[in-house]
Amino acid sequence: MEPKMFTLALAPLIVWLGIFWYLNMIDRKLSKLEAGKDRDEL
Amino acid sequence: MAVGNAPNSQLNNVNSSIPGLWWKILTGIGMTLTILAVYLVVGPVLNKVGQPFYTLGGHGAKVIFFHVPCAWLGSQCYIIGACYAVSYLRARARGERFAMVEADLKNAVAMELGLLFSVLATITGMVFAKNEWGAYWNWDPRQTSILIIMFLFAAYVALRGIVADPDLRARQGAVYTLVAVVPGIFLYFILPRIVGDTMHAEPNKALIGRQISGNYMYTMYGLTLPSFIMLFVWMFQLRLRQMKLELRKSA
Repeated sequence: MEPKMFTLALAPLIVWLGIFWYLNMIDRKLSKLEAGKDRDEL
Repeated sequence: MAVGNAPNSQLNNVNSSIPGLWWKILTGIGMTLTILAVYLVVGPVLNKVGQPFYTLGGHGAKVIFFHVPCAWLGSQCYIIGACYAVSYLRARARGERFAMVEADLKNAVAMELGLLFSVLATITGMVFAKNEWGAYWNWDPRQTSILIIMFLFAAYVALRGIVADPDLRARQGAVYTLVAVVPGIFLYFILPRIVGDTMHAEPNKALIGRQISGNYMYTMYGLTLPSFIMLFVWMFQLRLRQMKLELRKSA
């Protein structure tokens, strides 16, 4: 495994972790809204 | 039969999320492993004479591992959208209002995600094209096809955005989806095959013809594609839940 490959993998990895965090955040927010909390945020 | 108001009491009782946290964690692990496998395990992409593709010793072309699932999911969105459009029209004929709303929202989500994944397929394709063919855009038949496909998906989103009446919006959306699925399937599956000489021929051959060293077949079909499908399911149900909440709020 060349160091270059790690660098190449880093960009999509960071993008994916960002997307994963965002989807999780939306999921939690929707769960709250479905439970009747945070109605103002809709 | 107004789509927008009558079944909201029933929507309150429906949770569109798939239960459990395990499959979301699995999606996260699957996508992370996909990225790591593509760049750290799978070997360089080779051309027809066995030489690495141009950039980074054949590793630059590995963006096709993300391009192919996006393009495939975009094509599936047409089929999923069309199934829900038929489902909507059948429910409408039977006067089942709850089923109508459910089918209409799922149809809308499928078409929206179709737009998203076709845009992602185009962007990843453009990165590949710049690396390997020297320009972001080459008017290759497949590139032209996906451009028209994007417009077809975008037209659905625009149509849905400008019609205020929920019933008319749902009916027009369903009919549009069924009309758009015909050129969609033609552009995805038929046109690139009847136009013989495309720039996609070589990367397609590399992907299908075992010109990538290492266990790329396991990576593509055992890891990348399932991970993207799980991601698609997650995004689909998130958007559906959001649309249902908006519908409940507007009631």
